[in-house]
Amino acid sequence: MAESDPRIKMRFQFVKGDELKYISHLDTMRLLLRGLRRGAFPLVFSQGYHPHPLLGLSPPLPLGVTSEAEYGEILLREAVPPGEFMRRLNGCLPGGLQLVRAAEADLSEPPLMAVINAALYRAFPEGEEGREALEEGIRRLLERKEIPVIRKRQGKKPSRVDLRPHIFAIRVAGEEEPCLELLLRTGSSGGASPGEILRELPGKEGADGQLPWRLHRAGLYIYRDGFLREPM
Amino acid sequence: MADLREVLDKLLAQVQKPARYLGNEWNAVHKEHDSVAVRAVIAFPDLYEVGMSNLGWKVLYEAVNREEDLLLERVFAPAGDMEALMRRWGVPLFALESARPVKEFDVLGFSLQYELSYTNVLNMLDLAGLPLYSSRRQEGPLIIGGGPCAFNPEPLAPFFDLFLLGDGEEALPELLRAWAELTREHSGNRREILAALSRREGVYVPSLYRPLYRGKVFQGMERLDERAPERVRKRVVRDLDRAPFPCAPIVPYTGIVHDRAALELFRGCGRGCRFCQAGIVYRPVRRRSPERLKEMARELLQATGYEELSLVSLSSSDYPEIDALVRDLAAESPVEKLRISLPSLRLDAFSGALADQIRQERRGSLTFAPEAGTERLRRIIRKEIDEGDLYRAVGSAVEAGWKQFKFYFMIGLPGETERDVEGIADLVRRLLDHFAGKKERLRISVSVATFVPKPHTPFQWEPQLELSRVKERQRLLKAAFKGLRSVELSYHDAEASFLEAVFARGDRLLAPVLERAWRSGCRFDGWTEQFSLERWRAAFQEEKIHPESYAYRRYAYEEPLPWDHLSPGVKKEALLREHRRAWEEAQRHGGE
Ligand code: SF4
Repeated sequence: MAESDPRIKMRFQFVKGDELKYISHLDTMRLLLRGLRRGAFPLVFSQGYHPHPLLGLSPPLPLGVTSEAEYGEILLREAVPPGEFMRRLNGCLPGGLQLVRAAEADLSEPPLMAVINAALYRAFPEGEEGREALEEGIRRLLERKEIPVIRKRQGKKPSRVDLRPHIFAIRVAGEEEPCLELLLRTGSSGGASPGEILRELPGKEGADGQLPWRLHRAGLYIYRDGFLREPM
Repeated sequence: MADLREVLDKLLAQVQKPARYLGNEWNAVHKEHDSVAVRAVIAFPDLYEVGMSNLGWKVLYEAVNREEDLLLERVFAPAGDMEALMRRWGVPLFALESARPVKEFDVLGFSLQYELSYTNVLNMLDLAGLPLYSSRRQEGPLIIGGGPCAFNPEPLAPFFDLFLLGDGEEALPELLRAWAELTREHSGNRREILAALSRREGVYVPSLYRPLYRGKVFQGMERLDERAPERVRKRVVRDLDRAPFPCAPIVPYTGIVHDRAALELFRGCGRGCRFCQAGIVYRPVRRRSPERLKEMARELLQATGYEELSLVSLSSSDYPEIDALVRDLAAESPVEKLRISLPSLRLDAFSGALADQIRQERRGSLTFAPEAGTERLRRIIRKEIDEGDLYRAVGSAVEAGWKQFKFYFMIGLPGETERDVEGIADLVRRLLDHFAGKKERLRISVSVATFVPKPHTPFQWEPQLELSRVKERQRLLKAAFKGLRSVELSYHDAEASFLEAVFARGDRLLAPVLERAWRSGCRFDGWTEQFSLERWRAAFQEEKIHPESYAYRRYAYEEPLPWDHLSPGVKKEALLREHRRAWEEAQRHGGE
C-alpha cells in the first residue's frame, strides 16, 4: 500500500549489455532504485517500518544473458515528462543498463510481472555450427512429448518439471552465421530458461558444464490467442 | 599485456556471485594507465562482500585517485570457486577496474585488518604470479601493507617490502610519488630505494632490521642500515576536515555486509579500554566539524543513492553534541526516508534524544558492548560503565520503541574468575527483570568473544586463557543462561581466537609456518566453515614452533617485544603503568 496518492505510473524499457549481464535480478532492482534516488525523483513509498519505493520489474533475466527488452514501472508522486525521466535516470545509471523508452501508463493497468508471459531469446553457438545440424537437433528435441528435468534450487527440494509445454517455438535464424531463436514461456505462471532447453539439445553438451552459447533476450511479450504483443 | 576481459567472461559464467568481479560499479574510477605516473592496486585479503564494507581502503582510493598523476585500483580475495578456475585457466590475479594483471602495476598494497586474513595475503601474491618472499623480487610491483596489523606485521615481514604505519591518506600518495622518483634515480636498485624510503615518517622496511634470537627466544631487533630509524613512528593526519574522504564511494551491485553510506565522525577514541588496540593505534582523537560532516553527508547521499547513513567511528556516541548532529543530518537530508544508524554506541553516552533520532532503525537491533559481566572486571579492563548506565541506555531505547538488543562480551579477560563469567548471565537476567513490566519482552542476543592480547595495549603482556579453559567457561556460560528465554547466546570460535593471539603477538619465526599452512590449503581462516586448527597445528609442528608459547605465555616487562621498534605514539612505559593499574584494581576488588 502506498502512503501518499500516486499520481503517475512510469513505464520504461531498458537494455542490459555485456558489462552487466552478470548482475542478478535483485542486483538490477537495487541498481535501478539507487539510480532513481540519485536522480532525486519524486518517489512513492510503501507504508510500514521499512518504506521502499514501488518499483516493479519484468520477469528475471537469467544470469549471463544480455537483453534489449527489459521493462520496469515505478510510481511517482508528481508528473515527470517521460523524455526527461529517461534522460535523467540514464545519467544516474551505468552504461551497461540504459533506458530506451519511457511512457506514462494507466494506474489501473496490471503490473508487468503479471502479464508478461513469453520471452524471445537468441542463442549464438560458440565455434562453427552447421545450419543443418542445428535444424536436426531442434527437430529431434521438439519431437519429444515430454522433456523432463530435475530443478535444484538453493534451500529447496529438487523438483521434476516438464519443459515441453514451456516451448512455444524454436527455429534456426541468422543470415550468415546461424543462431537459434527460442520463444519460451516465462513469468509468474512458470516457464523455462533458455539454458535449460539448450542443455537438452542433442550433441551440444558443453565441456566444464559451460554452455557453449552466447545468449541474448530479444523480446518480452504478452502472448494471448496466438498473438504476441509488446508490453509498451 | 592486454586486459583479461575475454577470458574472464568465460570464467564468470561458471562462478557464484559473478558480480564480485566486474569492476564497473557506480563511482568506480577508471583511468588510462598511460596517462599516470604511478599505477597502484589496493588489495583486501577477504571476500568482496567483506572488503567492500570496509571504509579504510576507500579513503585511500579517494586520496590517490583524486590526484591526476596517480591511479589506484582494487582487488579482493577471489572466492574458492573463482580461485580454482583462475588456476585451471592460468588467469593471474587481476585488478577489478582495468582487468589487468596485478603483476603489471607499480605498487600492490594490502589492507591488513585482521590476522586471520594472512593466508589470503600469501594466496593473492601467489595468484598474482609473484614470488612470496621480498628477497626474491628484484622487479615487479612493490608490495606494501597498512592498517592496524601493520603495528606488528612481523609474521608477514619477509613477504613485504614495506609497511605504512598510521593514517594513509597523506602518506600513500606521497609514497607512490617518492617510489616513482627513486626508481628513476636509482635505476631500479631495490635495496637502495627501500633504504631511501625508510627515512620517511611512517615507513617501516622490514628487510633493514634483523631479529636476534637465543634459541627461539626473541632478543631484540638489529638495525642493518643507518638510514632506517631505530623506532618507526606512525603517520598522523592532523586536520580531518581537510583530509580527503570518499564522498562518492563505489556502490556495489551485489549485497554486501554493510551496504550503506559511511560517514566518519572522528578518528581515535579517548576511552582507553585496556584490551583495545584500536584505541591506541588510532590516537589522538581528531574530530570533523559538524559543518563539514553535513556537507559530506549531502554529497555522499547524492552520489550514491543510499537510503542509510551510518555514522562510523570507534565510539560514535562520544561525538560532542551527537544528538544535534543526528537531528540536523536527518533534517537536511537530500534523500527521502533516510535511515541513520550508529554502529558503535557507548552505554554511558546514549541518551533519550539520540534514541529518538535514530528510531527509524528501531526495527533492527541496538548494539552495546559492556564487555564484562561484573563491575569489578569492568574496572580491571577499564570499561567504565556501571549497571545504572545500562538501565538508562536500554530504558531510553525501549521508550523510543526498540525491542531488540545485542550485547558484546568477552571471556578470558585478565583477572576474570568464574564468577565474572556467571556475572554476564546475571547482568542479562537483572536487565530482563528490570524491564519485565513492559508489554513486550525485550529480545536480547549476547555475543561472546574470547580475549586476545594485542600488541601496543596495556594487556600486551597478558596470557590468553587456554583453549580448554575457554571452552569450560563457554559451557559455564551456557549453563548460566539456561532458563533465560528470549536470550540468544553465541560465541566466537575459540580456536580461531587462539590462532589470532598467536599471530597478533607473532614474530618472524611464524612466517614459514604461515607459508606452510597456506600450502596445505588454509584460506579464509576468519570464516568458521573454512577454518581448520588441525591443519595449522600440523604446520606449527613441521616448523617446530609451539604456538602456545606465543598465546599462553605471560610476557615479562623486561623482555624485548617483536614490535618494540614500531611506535603508535604511546610509550611502552605508559602501557606498563596502565597494566600495573589494572592489577591494582584487581587486588583492591578481590578475585584471583
Ligand atoms: S573498546 Fe571502544 S570505547 Fe574502549 S577504547 Fe576501544 S574503541 Fe574506545
